[in-house]
Amino acid sequence: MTASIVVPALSARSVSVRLGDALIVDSVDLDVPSGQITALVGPNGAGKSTLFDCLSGALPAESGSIRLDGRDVTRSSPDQRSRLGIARTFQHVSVFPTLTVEENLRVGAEHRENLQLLRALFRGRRADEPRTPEIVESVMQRLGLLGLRHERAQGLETSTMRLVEIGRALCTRPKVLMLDEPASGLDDAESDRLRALLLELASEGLAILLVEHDLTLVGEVAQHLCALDHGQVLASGRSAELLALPDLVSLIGGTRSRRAAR
Amino acid sequence: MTVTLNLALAGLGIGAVAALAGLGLLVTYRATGVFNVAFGAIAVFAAYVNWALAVRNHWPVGFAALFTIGLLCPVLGFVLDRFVFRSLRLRNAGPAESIVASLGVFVLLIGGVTILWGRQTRLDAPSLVPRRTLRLGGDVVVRLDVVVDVAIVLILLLALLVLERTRVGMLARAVVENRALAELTGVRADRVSSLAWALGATLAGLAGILIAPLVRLDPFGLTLAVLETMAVVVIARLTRPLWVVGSALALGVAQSEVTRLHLPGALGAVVSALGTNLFVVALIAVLLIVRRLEDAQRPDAGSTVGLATRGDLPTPRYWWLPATTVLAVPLLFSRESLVTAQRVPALAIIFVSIVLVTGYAGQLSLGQAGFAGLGALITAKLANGSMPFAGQIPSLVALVLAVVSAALLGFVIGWPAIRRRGLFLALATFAIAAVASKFVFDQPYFTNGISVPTLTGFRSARMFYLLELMCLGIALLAVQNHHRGRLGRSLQAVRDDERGALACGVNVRRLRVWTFAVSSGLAALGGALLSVSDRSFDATAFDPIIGLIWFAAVVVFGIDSATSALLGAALIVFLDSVHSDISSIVIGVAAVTVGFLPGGLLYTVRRVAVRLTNNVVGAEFAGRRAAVAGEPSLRLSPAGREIARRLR
Ligand SMILES: Nc1ncnc2c1ncn2[C@@H]1O[C@H](COP(=O)(O)OP(=O)(O)OP(=O)(O)O)[C@@H](O)[C@H]1O
Ligand SMILES: [Mg+2]
Repeated sequence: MTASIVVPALSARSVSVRLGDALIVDSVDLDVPSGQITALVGPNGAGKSTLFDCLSGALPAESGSIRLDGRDVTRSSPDQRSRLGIARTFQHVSVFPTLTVEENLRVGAEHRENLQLLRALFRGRRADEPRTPEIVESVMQRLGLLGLRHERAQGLETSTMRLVEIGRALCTRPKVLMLDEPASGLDDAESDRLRALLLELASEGLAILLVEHDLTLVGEVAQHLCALDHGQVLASGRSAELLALPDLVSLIGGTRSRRAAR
Repeated sequence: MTVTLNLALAGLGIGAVAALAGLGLLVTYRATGVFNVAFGAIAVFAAYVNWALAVRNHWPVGFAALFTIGLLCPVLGFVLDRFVFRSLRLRNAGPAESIVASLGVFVLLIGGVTILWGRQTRLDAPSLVPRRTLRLGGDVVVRLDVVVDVAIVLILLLALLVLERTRVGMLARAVVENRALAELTGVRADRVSSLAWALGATLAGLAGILIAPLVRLDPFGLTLAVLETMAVVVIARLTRPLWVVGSALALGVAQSEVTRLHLPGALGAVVSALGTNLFVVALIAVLLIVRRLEDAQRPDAGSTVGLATRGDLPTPRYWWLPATTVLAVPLLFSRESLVTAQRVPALAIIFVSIVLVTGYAGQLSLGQAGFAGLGALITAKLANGSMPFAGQIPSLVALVLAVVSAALLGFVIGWPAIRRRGLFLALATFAIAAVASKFVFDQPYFTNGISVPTLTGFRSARMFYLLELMCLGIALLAVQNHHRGRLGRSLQAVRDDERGALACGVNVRRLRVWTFAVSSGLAALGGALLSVSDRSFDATAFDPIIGLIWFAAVVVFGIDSATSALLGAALIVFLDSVHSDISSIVIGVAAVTVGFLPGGLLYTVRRVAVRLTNNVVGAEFAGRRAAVAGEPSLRLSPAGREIARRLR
């Protein structure tokens, strides 16, 4: 493979996050290049989800800077970052339980611009954006959700909910997609489909950041790898090279067998 | 110097009572996680029972108090725990549901007091301690009861601080931290809760009996006086007994010192109100200004999902028929009944404003009475020409201006208030209503000689009723537009899962403030119409306590259904026309059972109907409900519950 120079879509420089008295993320550097998949790995409690929260704006960074396409977003709110092109899913599935699958995706699709509240107050449904249905339709088609569009999210199986959550993230038309353990709760066939989807999305130019305990899956999809422990970067670089180091793998404490993944 | 000292000593009396009430609230909250809004009502109930026994039945004062504090209150606390809050606990219900349940207890107790002893003010509340003063040297004097009250508080504080370090205290904390785990290690968690409830109720009762002779006995005023002392618990961040006592005594003294100031005009009115209401000002100041308050709360403290319908029953085909009928029938009434019925659309508008802010947007807002009252007052003042800097304005225009200015005010206040979630937002909005009531509605400076206009062109009872229906129609349209389309979806998303909504780019804060403002405007509209139909501006009609009753009513009928709110308003007006306090009893009973009626009365009826007509749908429905609650539908042992919690 030839090394290519890629501009990172999302980059974090010495980002730290403090929760209570503890420094949970400790000056982490991370680059997430477009068109490629970057895996974030580490043992339980390493601070991966906390770093996610910080990158997506749910938690403030104590220090450091976060850039999206060269633009400083360190101080932006989570909804601003979403509008700028950072989309994410959560480790504990987060869908809107009382909305249908289609409505879940619509919420994702229709917030690129702020809502015109006065118009919505007087015009109701007629104030909706005309482009939304197309976007939602194409994402549902791609994820195979068309048959479930009118189901309420609360009754769905976990794996389907994960899919809805990813779909919702895709509907925001992101530049960077951050997935927190998307394969957990999926069976073999489902995670095969997930893998295919991830590769396809990356080939379309999306920058993907992936938290995953299943190192087999990581090895198959990710070009880059960043290993985190106690909030610090242990190692980062080409995933093929890093995964060849047995010490690192055992330190990460990840699983090799897909079934053993959480 | 002497005056200062004397005032300070006098202020210690109120401070001590506030400390007692606050400690009771704190004990219950820390041991059970329930912020017992009903503590004010328990205090007032105890004060009334004590008064009835001592004054009406001529029991010896000490004996009456002993019976009330020693027997009645602990039993009441125990009963509340056993029959109201335990079932909520077992269901792992959210804080919103426990707030509503304690509001139910509140409404029930206040309703009981007004039915048994009437609403009039009584000045003969018995004092436990002989009315004597002690001379401390020079002209410095202190009343004996103040000395006794402060002594009680200090002894109690000491006892609590010691208790915290003993086994019982540790057990109590263990139960709150992690109930299932505590049970696993052999703690009888239910006993700890019962004990805490009994103790909390006893302290509330004691506070009520002590404060009654200092203020006076009337069901709303005294309740509010006790409720205002919540400030000290919030200042103590719901955790520190020492802070409760310290801030209570300090506020009591400060409040007493304020009475020295006499200023003319509007400022004077405000300052004189400060002299009796410093606590509520402290409450609102802490809630609006202090940045980090949420630490003490559970992370899901903002969730009102437990109150809402699941939206999983099909909409019945003729859903609009009952409400339309109820609204249309009064047009056939005689003039006199029609005038009574005029309250229905006005109240319905206030109710749908609660549906909007709490049902659709998921924010616990207890302050609608304040905005309703402001709407009424501003309309009247503008139409009278008694508003400063404004001439006389046609009454319909005045109405519109009042609605707009209430919405703007909601916007301005909403901005800081909306940072709060769940319990603290509920308290902040309640404090807003209390401030509006104490500092504006109750001040002769603002309300003297106010005459409520009839609306030009809508003078006859029938025309006015039609106008009300028109306003209701507009309000319903506005509220419905918050329940469909993009706006509706966004609000529902925020209510379901706030971080998910943020991750989708929904500007949550902007939506929150917006709905708060719109619902304030609607409440003002309803309040203005209410006062026009009453033909007078009556401060007690917009008492914050009434606001609490309204809120409980809307939850009982169905927090996220405008139709339910409408029918509820009609039912309340009807019950009130039969007997003035029946409605609060009905609402109270229903609110106490909120644990068994998720989604409200109407929704429960529909659910039962669906289940009876179609068992298959019923079964499917039950399965879905279990999935929403995030709980597996099987019963778990304490160990199993802990494992399930870990896994989640
Ligand atoms: N509010 C908090 N205050 C203090 N520490 C916290 C808080 N929330 C999380 N932590 C700690 O932060 C650390 C990192 O948690 P995080 O969820 O980011 O880990 P993770 O790498 O995602 O682990 P996992 O693989 O289990 O998902 C954990 O040790 C956790 O105990
Ligand atoms: Mg994690």
